[in-house]
Amino acid sequence: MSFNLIADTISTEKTGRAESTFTRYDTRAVTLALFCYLVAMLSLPATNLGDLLVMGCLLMIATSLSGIKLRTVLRKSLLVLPLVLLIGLFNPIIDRTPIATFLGVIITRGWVTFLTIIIRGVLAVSAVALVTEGVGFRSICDALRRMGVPKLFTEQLLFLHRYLFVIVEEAQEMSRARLARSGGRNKLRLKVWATLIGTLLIRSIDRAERIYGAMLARGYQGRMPDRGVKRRWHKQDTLLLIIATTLPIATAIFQPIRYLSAL
Amino acid sequence: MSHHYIEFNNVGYRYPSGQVALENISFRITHGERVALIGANGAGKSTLLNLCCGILLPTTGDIVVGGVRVENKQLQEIRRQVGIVFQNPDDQLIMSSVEEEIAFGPLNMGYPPDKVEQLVEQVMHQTSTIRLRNRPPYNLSGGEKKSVAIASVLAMEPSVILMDEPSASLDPRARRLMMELVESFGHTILLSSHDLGLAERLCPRTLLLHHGYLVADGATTELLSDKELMERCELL
Repeated sequence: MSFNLIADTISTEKTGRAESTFTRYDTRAVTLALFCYLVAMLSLPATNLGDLLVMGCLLMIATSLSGIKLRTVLRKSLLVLPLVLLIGLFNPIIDRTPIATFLGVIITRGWVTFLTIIIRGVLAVSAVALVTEGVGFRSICDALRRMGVPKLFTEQLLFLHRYLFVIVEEAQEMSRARLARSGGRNKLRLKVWATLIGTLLIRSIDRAERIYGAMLARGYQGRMPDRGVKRRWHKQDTLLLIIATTLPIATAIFQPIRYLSAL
Repeated sequence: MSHHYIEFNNVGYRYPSGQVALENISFRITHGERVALIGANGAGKSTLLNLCCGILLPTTGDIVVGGVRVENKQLQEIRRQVGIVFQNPDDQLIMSSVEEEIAFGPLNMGYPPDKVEQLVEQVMHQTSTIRLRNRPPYNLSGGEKKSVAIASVLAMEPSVILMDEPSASLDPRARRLMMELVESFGHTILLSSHDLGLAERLCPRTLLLHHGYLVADGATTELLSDKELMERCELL
């Protein structure tokens, strides 16, 4: 996987938040709605594929209303796809309990749970990507802090976000330097990989120290500054919160597709 | 208070490995002076700038900036007075938008929000970065990043501006714009550079470092025209 894709994926600020309708709402409402969506979606039973698709539709509606391109959101979820595939890989092998037949083919429980794991993974990352793209990572951290999450935790999140870029940028530069001298051979021996990772770590630490030095030079004293401009909670925020939390929670509780298919 | 804004008195600095970076450096810079710091790679230019703003502390000698001795307990005051623009703006720009980036320093200084707003507006106009206001800094061109880095330092209202290789990796137009911007400042400026043309245009006075020693301190035109000295210091 190219470093460009990774850089693009972890970047949450590139498309310009001015395009997003999420910026019209209090970030706390948007963050709470995201949290409720994730809990509701992940609490669906492992074999309930139908209602998971309803959750997918809700996310698509939210994406289209947000003004953010669906393609942008889906591209970010691609990064976790290999990991999700790895998690669910053994389900079809381990769990061979037949649960349905489709055109004469027996469908086992393992295959269904494998599919739901992939869909859950993609939906969860897409939902997070949609919100971070819409309001920005820093705003989410601000919202978490205003909702009572300890500042220590939100500061760590901000630094993690910042230093992810540092590591990816360093990795990108090293990758380019290696390719330029590879003579067309793209495969790397294990020993070279180990050296590259070691060098990446050292370079990233050096770079992180330079960044920290630059922060100190601008008066940083261990706390990220606060602009002090707080958006007030409006009726529209309450409305957004009610709609955006009711639909996924109701889907998770009542599971309409499962109910209808049982009739 | 001394009329000298920056004073180095027999300053030396050794890296933790024991390697000598600077030895017996003494000079004085007065209010509003623009001074170039030139020297070959490894001469100690960046170390000297880091000492000026307290990122590093001298192992021997004294540094006084604006009447305040550079030492651990005075670092906040030193950083209030001294702004540093680093060689690589990517190391300096950390926030998610240009506006937040410029506000970072003043907010850390504890300025009230309305003053921060006013300062941000003012320096964005001064550095022509107003059109970049909502852009993420890491998506800008090299010249734009440099302007934002300068703006983020100006917003802290420093008395002294230190610039490490300000023309590094800038194209000719960005270099010219950067020079015009620096020329418009009334601050005390100490800039380190390999770019002798830039030093000649911006700074009437030059300090020449060689292997950690201050080998010359004088008028820029005179120093740069001394070919023997320039060759000896590996600058020609």
